[in-house]
Amino acid sequence: MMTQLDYKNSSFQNTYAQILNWGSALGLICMLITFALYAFGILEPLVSFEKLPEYWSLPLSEYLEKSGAPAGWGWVENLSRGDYSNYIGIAILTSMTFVCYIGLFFDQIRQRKILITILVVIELVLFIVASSNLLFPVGH
Amino acid sequence: MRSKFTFLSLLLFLLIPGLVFAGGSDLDMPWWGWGIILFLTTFIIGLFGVLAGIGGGVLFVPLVSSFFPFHIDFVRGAGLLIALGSSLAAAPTLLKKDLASLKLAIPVALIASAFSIVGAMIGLWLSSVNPAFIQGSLGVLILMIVVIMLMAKSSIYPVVKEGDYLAGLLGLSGTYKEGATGKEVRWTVHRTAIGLFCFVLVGVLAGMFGLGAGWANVPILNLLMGAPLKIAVATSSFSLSITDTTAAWVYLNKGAVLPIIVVPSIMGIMAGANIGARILPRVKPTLIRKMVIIVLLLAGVRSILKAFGI
Repeated sequence: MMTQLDYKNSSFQNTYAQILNWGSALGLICMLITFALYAFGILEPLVSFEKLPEYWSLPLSEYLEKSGAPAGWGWVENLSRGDYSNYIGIAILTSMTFVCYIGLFFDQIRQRKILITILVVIELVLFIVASSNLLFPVGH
Repeated sequence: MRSKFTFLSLLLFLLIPGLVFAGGSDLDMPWWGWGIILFLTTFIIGLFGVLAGIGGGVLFVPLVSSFFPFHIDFVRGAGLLIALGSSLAAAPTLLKKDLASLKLAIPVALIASAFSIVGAMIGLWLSSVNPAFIQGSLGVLILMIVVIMLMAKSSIYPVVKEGDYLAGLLGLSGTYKEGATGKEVRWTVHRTAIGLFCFVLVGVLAGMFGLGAGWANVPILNLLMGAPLKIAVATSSFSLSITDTTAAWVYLNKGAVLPIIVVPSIMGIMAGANIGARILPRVKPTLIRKMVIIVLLLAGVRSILKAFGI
């Protein structure tokens, strides 16, 4: 039987919302600025605009081979290039949930909610596995 | 006024993909021309996605992969980031209003995100074997989504007499305030094990095709598990921010993210969704939903034809 206490929402919900709000705004602003730098040619792209329409209809493996574009974490080395500078905003957007889950982990530990803490830890491990490129390495 | 708006909207909604389709992917257009058309198309997708009550990702992947020259690998990567961006934009408000439940999203998103990694890998592998496999399966899936959209019913307040053992163990319950009446609604869920199991499939499909999975999440949470409709819709939208994060990293690591597709699409879809939310009270959602179903049907058929090289 559920008790009155069971119907309370997570105490971390508002903090989670605030982190997401600021983080996604930051990600979008970065994306707008870097795309402007890219599109107006202020930052030289790795894959030139002239070649891009030839490449974007190719399958991924062929695109990587012909364009010389990096896979894995290779984009970090190319952040000064117009096209790859856009990855800053994209990486911020794809990292926000990880940041929120770190906070959630400490909140659940503090509340001694063991089962939920385990689920949160598994999710954090999944984020690390997906972003690390260790499980499915891409050579380039 | 309403009928004029609906007619003009339908015309506009079909015009841009129609023009691109008529031109074909060999259309001699500079890169920025495609960027502008992509922005306009995603603006309309965002607008209609909100009006029809579905996420933009489910419209984006079949339409853009069928009518634009981009390879489906890049379209799926962009589709995931679009679904992620839309979810991140909506989640803070939904969480603050207690409509999206963090407690419910934790186990749901864990299962879906684990299997979205599997789905992303299957999708990229299938595409490397033969892109027609993925294009054809996408077409079939879109037609199935059309059937689900036509058949699925919803229940505003499903009757859940008592949460089951697993729901109690995971604390899957909460409270929210009804906007119109100010009444406090308490909710919990049942059939938790079978409901959570369904998210295995949702995760695989989301990762494999780069689709947001609101079309599947909402019926599972609402009709199967018994969450109130508002909780189901909002938690589904929020949980996409968790599920799509893992799959998006797989596409990012594989190099399947092209900023020229991703950035105009995210900006377009968010601008469209913003305008859509403002005009929502003035349009008939059922009519819009029917139009979206027709467009999905066309995109599904077009995907299958493209898979056969027609």
